[in-house]
Amino acid sequence: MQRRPRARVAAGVALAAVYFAAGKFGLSLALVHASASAIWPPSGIALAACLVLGREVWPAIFAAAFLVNVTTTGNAASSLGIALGNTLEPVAGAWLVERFAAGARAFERPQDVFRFVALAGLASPLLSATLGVTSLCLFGLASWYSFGGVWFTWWLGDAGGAVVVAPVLILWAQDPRIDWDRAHLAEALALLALAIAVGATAFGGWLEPDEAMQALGLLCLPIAIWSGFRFGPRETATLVVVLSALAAWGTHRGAGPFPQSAEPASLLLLQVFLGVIAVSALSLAAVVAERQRTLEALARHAEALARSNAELDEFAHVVSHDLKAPLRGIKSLATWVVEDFASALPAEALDHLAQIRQRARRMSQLIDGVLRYSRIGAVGAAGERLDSRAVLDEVVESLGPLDAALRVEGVFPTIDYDRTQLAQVFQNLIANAIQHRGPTTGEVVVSCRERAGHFEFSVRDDGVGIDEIAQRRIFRMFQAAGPAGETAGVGLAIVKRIVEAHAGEVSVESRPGAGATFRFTIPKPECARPRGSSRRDG
Amino acid sequence: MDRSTPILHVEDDPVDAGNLRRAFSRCGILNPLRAVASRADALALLRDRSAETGPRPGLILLDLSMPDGSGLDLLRELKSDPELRAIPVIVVTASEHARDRRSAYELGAAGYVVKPIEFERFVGAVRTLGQYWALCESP
Repeated sequence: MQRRPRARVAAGVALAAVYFAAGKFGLSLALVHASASAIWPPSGIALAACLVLGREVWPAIFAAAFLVNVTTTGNAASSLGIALGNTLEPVAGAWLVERFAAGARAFERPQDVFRFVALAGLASPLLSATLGVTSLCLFGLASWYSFGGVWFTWWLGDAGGAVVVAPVLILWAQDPRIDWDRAHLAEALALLALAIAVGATAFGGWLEPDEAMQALGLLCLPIAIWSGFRFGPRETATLVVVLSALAAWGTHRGAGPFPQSAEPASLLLLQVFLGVIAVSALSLAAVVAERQRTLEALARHAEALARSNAELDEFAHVVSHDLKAPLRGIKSLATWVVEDFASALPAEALDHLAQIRQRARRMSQLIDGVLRYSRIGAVGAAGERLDSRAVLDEVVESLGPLDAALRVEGVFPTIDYDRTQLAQVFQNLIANAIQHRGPTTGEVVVSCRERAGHFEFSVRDDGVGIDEIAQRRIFRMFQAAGPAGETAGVGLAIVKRIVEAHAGEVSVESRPGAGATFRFTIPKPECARPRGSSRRDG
Repeated sequence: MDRSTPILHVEDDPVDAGNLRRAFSRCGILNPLRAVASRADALALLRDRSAETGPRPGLILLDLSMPDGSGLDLLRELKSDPELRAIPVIVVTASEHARDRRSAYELGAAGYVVKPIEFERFVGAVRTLGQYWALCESP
């Protein structure tokens, strides 16, 4: 972190002072050896300082660790060794967390929380415990015989400091603001009061010690979970500190569920308890916070999408309006010329005028086609249970008297579909078939077959057919196979868009001169996705 | 419908103005048709009470796109003017947008006709205008 030299020195001195005070307090809780503490808050302070301020704060940590120990044991040589371990531990821990667990942002995602615990909570304290206890034994401040016990206590104490103390410092340093409304503030105070009441009851030793008491500590878990769900990682880390302080205080007094005859055992129980609470609560808070961020991102994207859709709609509208205005002028002027000067014009000129009007009409159909295509943007959004035969019958009726025979074959099922859009699919396919019907019989057959998982509808004509090259582009916009006629070349593109939006497929089978069969599929209602899932939020 | 009551057509596109004039004569509507091409001209004509401007129009046909502002703005001005408020206004526009249609009716339009691209349909649209107007005049 770039700071001015004076500010850096001030920060270093402040850090050293806090570290020293916390160290003295931690040692006052020592159970096994005067230099090996049950919970070692300075390791959490040092780790947080390295992550928040940068690893260059190490001289302050080294100096403070030396002072804490030299004033406790009076042995400068061993204190140097201990200070070296106490400095290497946070520096290495911070490096590992920055490298593998998102650094100071480790509490935003559950996987980073677990990595933080493994790297800074379990791995890096090995350095401090090993260097520290070796120094004690080398200079006769502890016996080699007790190395294992003291080492284990040291390691656990540092781990507790890293897992319980560091998160709360890092999280508050990152965001010290409190912008809760009154209800949220009341809930926070209620949660804190409950945590203190439960912690004091469970660990205070006021109740008669018996087996049932052991379970009381478990009450801390739902409180931590409450915090994880309702508040963020920062508040949850704070609550963990409160519960841990109460547990450590009770255990130190020999009260609560953890004191056992042998002290390392009670320490281990306490550490396991604190570890379980801290890791569960912090990972849960991270999951909840991550979910919240995801929901917010989703809402932002949905909003952007809605805005973009509205803009697109507006754009299509303006384009069609502005393109149609000059077209209307061209057609009108051509009409006026015919109306006013028909008798004075040669036949060829009248024919050209007719062509101008015909082409203008074609252009206007293309514009309408673009508009129709863009307006089916919300396809598949509103499904309802439909009798597909009834929809087909309505479409056939609406087409009026046909100059082709239309036959319906097969059993038509009940399906989940948007009614207007299903009618549009039938209408476009039948209109297409009639337009390309054969001169021989002029028959159009609409049929339905049941397949595995879906229904297959088909519309067959006996017309001119479509060659293979045309088949490939026929479902694209403005790619009508025949000469430009009544359809604007969007009918089949619209069919494809609607069918695919309803999880179906569309295909054509044809040989030139032998008619064409258009097929489309509709998923069976029970095979389709749950109907509620297609609803959009908000 | 009184055949001497003038009709004001506010339209900046001369071809559309011509179409309307032709459609009127095709439908046998013989009321004098005055065409202006801008919002300012429309207001000037309506507010000028000198003798040479003749009687005030009994119907306003209003295009929505205008060189000097939206036709909707003009509609708002007309409906907030105590002298002009009573003249029925029928919007004649190329816009099929539901928003424009809603805004026009909210601002007090008596009708909304979409300009067709075919002249034959223009004639049909003018017949629709006649029906709107008849509705405006019926007690």
